[in-house]
Amino acid sequence: MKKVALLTIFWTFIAHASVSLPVEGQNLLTDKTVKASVENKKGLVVVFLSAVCPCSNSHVAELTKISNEYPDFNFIAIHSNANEEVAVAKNYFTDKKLPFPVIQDSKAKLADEFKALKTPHVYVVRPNGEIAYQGGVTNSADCSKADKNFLRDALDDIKQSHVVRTPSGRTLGCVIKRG
Amino acid sequence: MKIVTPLIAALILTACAQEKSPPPAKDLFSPTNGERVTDCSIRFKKSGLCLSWGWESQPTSTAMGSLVFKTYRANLLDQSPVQVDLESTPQVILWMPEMGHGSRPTTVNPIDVGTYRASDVFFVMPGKWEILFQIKSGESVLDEAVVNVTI
Repeated sequence: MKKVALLTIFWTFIAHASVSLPVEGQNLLTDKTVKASVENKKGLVVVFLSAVCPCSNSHVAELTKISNEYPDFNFIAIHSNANEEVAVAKNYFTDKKLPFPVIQDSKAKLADEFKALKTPHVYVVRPNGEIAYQGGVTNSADCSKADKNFLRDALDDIKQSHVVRTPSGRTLGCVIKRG
Repeated sequence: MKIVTPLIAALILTACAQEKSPPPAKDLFSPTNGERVTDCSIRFKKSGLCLSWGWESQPTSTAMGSLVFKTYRANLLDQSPVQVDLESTPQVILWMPEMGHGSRPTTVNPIDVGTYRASDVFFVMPGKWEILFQIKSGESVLDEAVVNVTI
């Protein structure tokens, strides 16, 4: 009975996990304020990335592709790692030329709000703030070796107005260091 | 007669009416005096190569476009531009420096010697953009030429 109660509480927590929108912060590359919303979109994809973590780096090309293939969703990246110098991160993300902005989350406020653990750690947020998916982009620390793409699956489910079949996936990568 | 006069007037007016056509796109490759225009003012930063470019199909707020660009080296005798292939097929990246983000990836294909077509060109929002022509080896950029455009 205890187990059932705990399980119910757990699933209730998962089902109702939500964040406040828009996601707002300082653009790492321009120092201007950036607001990522879900206006006229099916959702917002929030991904925590690192400038030095190889697991994060291996997913950058795939994230670029996904953002191109799913125009119904807005995308935003967040850089929260306190152990990575801003200048290093600026150089890295300037080189990567991502098709979406990168927020510099210096005090890990957004990482705390999302309870982000590692890089890459991705969240799909619905227009009502509900987190429809959270976890790894794929099921591998090295994107090229992945045989499951959790993020694509979640976006496909939402596009087809289905319930996201896998609402959370294991996050494999480098731990986000808080300051 | 009363009916005929306005009818004639209407016919004359209709005959003179011209459909308003859009202004012609700037064509950098159109022949002038029997020679192709080779505007070599856009230079790659390291190699000294240069390029010229033009819209083949200008992108709109809803549709992708394509551009054609040509790459040149300086002729050893008189420094005139000679069309030349790059070491590898270059990448064309659309970048919005004021916003710190790019746009969708483009697709680049070689067409002829030193001639490339970049398709899937789409600007996600109006504003000042850079078109980056990059020669890459793996992930590192070996050389780059930049064109500023306002959309």
